Amino acid sequence: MANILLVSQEKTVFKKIEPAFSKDKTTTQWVDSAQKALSTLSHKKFDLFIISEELPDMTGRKLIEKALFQDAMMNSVVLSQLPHKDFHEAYEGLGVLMQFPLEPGMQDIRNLMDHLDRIDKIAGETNSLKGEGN
Amino acid sequence: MENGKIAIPSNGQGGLDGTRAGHFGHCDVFTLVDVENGEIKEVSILQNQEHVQGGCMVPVNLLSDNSVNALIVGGIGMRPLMGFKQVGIDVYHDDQRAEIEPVVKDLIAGKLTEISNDQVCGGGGGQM
Repeated sequence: MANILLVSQEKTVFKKIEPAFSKDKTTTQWVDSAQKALSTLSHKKFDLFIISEELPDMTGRKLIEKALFQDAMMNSVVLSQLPHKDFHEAYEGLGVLMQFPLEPGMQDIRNLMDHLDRIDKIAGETNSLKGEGN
Repeated sequence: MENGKIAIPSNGQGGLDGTRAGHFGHCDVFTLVDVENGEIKEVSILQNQEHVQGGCMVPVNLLSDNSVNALIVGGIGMRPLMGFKQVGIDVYHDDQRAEIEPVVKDLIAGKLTEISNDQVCGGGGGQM
C-alpha cells in the first residue's frame, strides 16, 4: 500500500498523472495549502508527498522542512521550474527525491518509480563488514 | 558516553587511526566504536551503501539496524538529521578535526556537542 499526499493550489496540475494513482494499493489525497498538508500529516502516515514549489501560504521548501519534523521517512517530490542545478542546490539537504515539471506526465511517474526501486535495491544491499577490528 | 555504539563516517578502510569523511552520505565506510564503562571496547567497520538523490534514509536505517547510538559528523542535511533523531541516534558535531580517534575520545568524555537544527547544511555533508 502506498499513500501519496498531493499538495498544490490547483488540483488540475496532477491531471496527467491521475491514471498512475488509480492502480491497486495506491491511495491519494489532495490538499490545496501547506497548512492543510501539515494538518493531514499530523494524523496520517504517507509514503510520499508531491508538492508545488509555490503554495498560497508557504513555499514548498518551508513545507518540506516542517514536514521533516513530523516524519523524515516520507519521501518528497517538488513541482518546480528551477534549472536542475539550482534545484539541486536549493533542495538536496532536504532529501528531495526528484524534481517534477509544473504539470508532470506519466513519464515523470515512471522515472520516479525507477528511482524509488533503485533506492529500495540499495537499502536491501546491506554489506556489513562488522567484526573487522582495527 | 558510558555505554553505546558510535559511528564515524570514514575515508578508505576507516578504523580508529583513519580519517573522517566530510560528506557522510558519500563516505566509504562507517567506523563503529563500541563503548563500555566509558572505555573503547571494540572497533569495527561497516560498509556504506551507494548514495543517490533522496536516498538519505538509507544510511539512517543502516546505522539504526546496526544498533548505533551516536554519530559524529562534520555537517549533515536537514532530512537525515531529522531521520537520525527519529530513530533515536544522537548526532554530534565537529567540523575541525579530520582524525577519527580524537573526536571519539572527546565524545566519550562528553566534550562534543549535539548538532542543532540550525547547523544543518545542503548536500547532507560538510567540510572539516
